[in-house]
Amino acid sequence: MTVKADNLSGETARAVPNRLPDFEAIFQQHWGRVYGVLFRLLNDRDQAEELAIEVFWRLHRQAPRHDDEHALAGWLYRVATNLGFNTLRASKRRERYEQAAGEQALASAGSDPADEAERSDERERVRRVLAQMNNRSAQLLILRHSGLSYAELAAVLGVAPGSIGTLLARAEQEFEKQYRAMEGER
Amino acid sequence: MHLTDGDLRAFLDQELNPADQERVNTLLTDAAATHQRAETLQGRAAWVGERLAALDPLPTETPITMMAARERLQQRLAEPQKETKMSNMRFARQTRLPWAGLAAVLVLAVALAFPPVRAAATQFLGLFRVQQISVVPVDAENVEQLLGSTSDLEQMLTSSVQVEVLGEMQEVANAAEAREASGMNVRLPAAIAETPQLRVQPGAEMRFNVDLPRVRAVLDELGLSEVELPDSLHGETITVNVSAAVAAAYGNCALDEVSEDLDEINRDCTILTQMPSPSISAPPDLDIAALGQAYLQVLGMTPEEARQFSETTDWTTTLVLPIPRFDTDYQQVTVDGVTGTLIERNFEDGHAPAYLLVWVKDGIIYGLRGVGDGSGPESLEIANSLQ
Repeated sequence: MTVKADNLSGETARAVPNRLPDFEAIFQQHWGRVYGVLFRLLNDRDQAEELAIEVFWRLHRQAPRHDDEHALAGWLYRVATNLGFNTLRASKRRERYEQAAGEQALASAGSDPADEAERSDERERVRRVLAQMNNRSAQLLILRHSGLSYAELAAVLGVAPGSIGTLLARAEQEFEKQYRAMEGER
Repeated sequence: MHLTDGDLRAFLDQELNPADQERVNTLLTDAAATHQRAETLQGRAAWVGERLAALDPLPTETPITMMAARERLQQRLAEPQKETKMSNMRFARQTRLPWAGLAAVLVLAVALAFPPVRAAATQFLGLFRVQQISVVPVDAENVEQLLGSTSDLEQMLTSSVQVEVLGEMQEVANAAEAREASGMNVRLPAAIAETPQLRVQPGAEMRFNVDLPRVRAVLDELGLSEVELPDSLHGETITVNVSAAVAAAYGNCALDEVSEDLDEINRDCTILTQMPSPSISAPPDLDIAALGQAYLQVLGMTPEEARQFSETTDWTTTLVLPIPRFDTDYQQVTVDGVTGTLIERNFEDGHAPAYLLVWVKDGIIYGLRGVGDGSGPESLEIANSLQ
């Protein structure tokens, strides 16, 4: 392919073949869950939608090699969480959302303001705890809570399925410790 | 040992022989402790689940329908692929070259092909081959500002540079496939047992057609009018050849992020990139040192500093990597049997430090990047275990 530099400033149409014959089924199977993972990471509906579409756009353009559905899921959720964490870091959303989580939840819900305030406090606290944990543990908890199986989690993290239980137990213990410490500060 | 009801009944009545009585007692005690642990784990898992449920989308936070999402994706796929302007790419990457891993070498090769660094004459006999790497701390913002101050530069690059990408990016399963796809002997670290994600990034050929009056105008704008370029350069073409590179990602990283900033690297991600040295055609009678000095001045050195640095640099074999002056340390280290450079970046915002270890061996440039200060045994152990 030859691209002349003066054409680079514009937009270069390039059809990229989708190498996944079962792309539609994969999209249907994973769309909601990919969104859910990203929403839990970002606490921002628009951003989560945008990145979820980005994940499937990447899948369509560069289908990964995968031997089974778990490997594919591993790729999808690894890309999703990496995009999510990168977005958090790049925009320093972590801090901003910790401050804004309550306001956003209050603004977006029309039910009892007291309930919503309590929920938003809890959301803020949980996000803060996850932010203090190492990425892998936080990622593991969010993905497990989002419904990924041990085999899928193993594919995401690149570890043996047999070690997921241990990693989860450790992550939950760390979460509880951090959470209770934060409660003690209040 | 499986316990029957009879065993248990006898145990309760202490009718078993002492050895069996003790064995059953141990089993029951262990089982009770195990049961207690399982209950604790179950309770904690449920408790954490209840806390995490606070992150679940509210009814008002559910995404658009699957059909709408699919439609948006389709629109996105139908959009023409946006490419980065050559000049913008250069300016943006200039500030973060070391952190972009060896993908940055490709960009740097373009920078080296740029007239302040190299120019061409009628015969291209002299070749640039990387044998060693030097780093130059630069004030990235000043460089960007300087390069951005000339409107002619962008015009010149967009009208005079052609890029030919040689093949397509491929994900491969193992070193043998990577070798076949890249054409080089791919080495992977024995110190990491994990199977890496492997990506072969295609090579490229870049051609710069020298429009000498325009080059001189750009140099004037940059305050480098003292750089002398022979008239014979006009109309000549400089060619930069960049071979295919292989990236191996270990841990929790997505290969899509391989060429991005080290600032963005995941905490548990380590990436090894390797590629043959790029080559740049250059005329044998060109005053490379003078052009190197000009390059260094663009990077912010005074003319005297640039002269001193240039005098000790073999510009035909040295890749000069600009690194951010602030928050960045570097040192020479012995790695893989040769001398390499360990660049460490510290972040003000609490990120763990990130490192890039670069070295050249047998004509191949290697870059290992990860999180940590890089001075510990891990990075060197990885690098020294390549096979």
